[in-house]
Amino acid sequence: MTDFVIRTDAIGKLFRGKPAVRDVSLHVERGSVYAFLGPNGAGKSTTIRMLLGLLRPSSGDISVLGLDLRRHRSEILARVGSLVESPSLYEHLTARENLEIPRRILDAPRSDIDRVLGIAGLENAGGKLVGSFSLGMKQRLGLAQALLGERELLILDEPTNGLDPSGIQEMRLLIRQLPTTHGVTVFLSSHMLSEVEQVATHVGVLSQGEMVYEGTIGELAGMRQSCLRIGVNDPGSAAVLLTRHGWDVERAGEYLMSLDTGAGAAINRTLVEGGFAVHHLAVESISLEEVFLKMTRAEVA
Amino acid sequence: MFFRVFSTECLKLKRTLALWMALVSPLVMVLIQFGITWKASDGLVRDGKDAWPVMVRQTVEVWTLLMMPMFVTLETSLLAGLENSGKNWKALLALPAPRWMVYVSKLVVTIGLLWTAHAVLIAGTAASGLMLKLLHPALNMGGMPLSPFAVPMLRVSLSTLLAVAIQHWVSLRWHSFTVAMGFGMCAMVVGVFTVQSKALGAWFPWSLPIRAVLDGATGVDRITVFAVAGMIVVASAGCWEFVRREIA
Repeated sequence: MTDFVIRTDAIGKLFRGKPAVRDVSLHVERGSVYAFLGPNGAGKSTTIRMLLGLLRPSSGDISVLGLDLRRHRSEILARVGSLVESPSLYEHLTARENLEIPRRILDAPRSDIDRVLGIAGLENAGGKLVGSFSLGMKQRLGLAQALLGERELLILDEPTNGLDPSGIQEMRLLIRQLPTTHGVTVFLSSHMLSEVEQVATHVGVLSQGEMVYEGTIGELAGMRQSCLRIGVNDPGSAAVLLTRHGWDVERAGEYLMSLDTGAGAAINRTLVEGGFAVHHLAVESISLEEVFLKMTRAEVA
Repeated sequence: MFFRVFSTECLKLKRTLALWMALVSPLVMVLIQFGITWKASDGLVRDGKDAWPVMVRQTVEVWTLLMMPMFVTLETSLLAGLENSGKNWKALLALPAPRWMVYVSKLVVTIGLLWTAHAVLIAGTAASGLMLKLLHPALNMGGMPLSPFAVPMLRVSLSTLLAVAIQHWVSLRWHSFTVAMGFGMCAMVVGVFTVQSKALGAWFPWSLPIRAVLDGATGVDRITVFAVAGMIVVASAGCWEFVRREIA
């Protein structure tokens, strides 16, 4: 039987009668890195806050580490580390003092502070005031806080938000090694698949408050299809013309995409005869990011 | 667990204005009173009276009427600001501490700072009185009247608890320094006016400490019992609301 560290059963959340999240069922396996994806405003943060007991679901049930969240909140939170959006830190305290606060509440040994400072690469910054930290250092300290004690699950909400490319790279490396070296399951949210596809083993996609996909990253890769990418001078009008001729095309930035890969010559002729200048026409493989965008865009439409 | 949560709240005070204020505010009061007593020596000595009782009475009255309400408002706003300014609630409440412990610990810290300020005020006034006795013999100061000082301060310490509990809830409920400060200032002004009303002065939370001083009682009376009981009721209600609060 699969060991799920997070299992939600059709959870929903209403804000002033309006649904922010509807019937979300998550299944996060132990030892996985689960990427929870969706565009901004899809309901990721609301779901994460429900997983941490900060918001009460309007409907559905949440089980974390095999325990019912409503009944075993404290027991669960002792084993779950979290970093929700920007790190919550006291800028007038040093890094070590910031770690001392959760350490005392978790009743973890003092040596744990050195351990997590080491994991976060902040061994030499423990005595510095957090107010003098860069955003990347604060983010790493937030992750160190989440790792204090005996955590079995890390819930990270947009952990690379606001980081520069090297900070993003460092954070990715840290996250990737957590399940293997520290036995921690990671559940992280992002609005970009490209940010997490190198670290995630599983993916859940949320759009407009509803789950539109859940599976392994391999299964998601299997959804990649070939398509015809068309570069044309006026994509909007060209799409109208091609649709009128019975082709199913979609806008992808400055390009048009069609799954009818054998129709290249006919499409080209139609466009040229219609007065359009075609500058690109090729059969290409859809990237994972485009699969993700297609999923979320379809929901929006 | 409670003491672990409480100790984290104490740790958060490190290098804060809130902590410094508990020392500086009463010392400012002591300095002002030192100056007033020194300058007023002619009037005090003319009657051949000991300057101690006047100095002590003025210290208690000015502190209770002016300094303390501002102190309570500022302290509760600053302490709540530690969590509000860094949006720290989500991290704090995602830790395995029962929420009521967080709420009560913060209230105890606020009361602790207030009572520390009172201890500093008593010690500072005693030290300044002794200095005046040495430096200014014309003041005719005898032994420090400990009971006329400590008893009203104890009554003030108890009778202000209801206002502290209300201000504590307001500061944590609205995540705005301005709202908390504005509420406290308005309540303080209303308190100054209602203290003169027999009907309202004995019940309005911000008037209670002043009434406790002006009434001249020497023990536990209706005002102190009402303030302490009121604090327990307000703190319990605030705790109930805080435990159920959603952190969006």
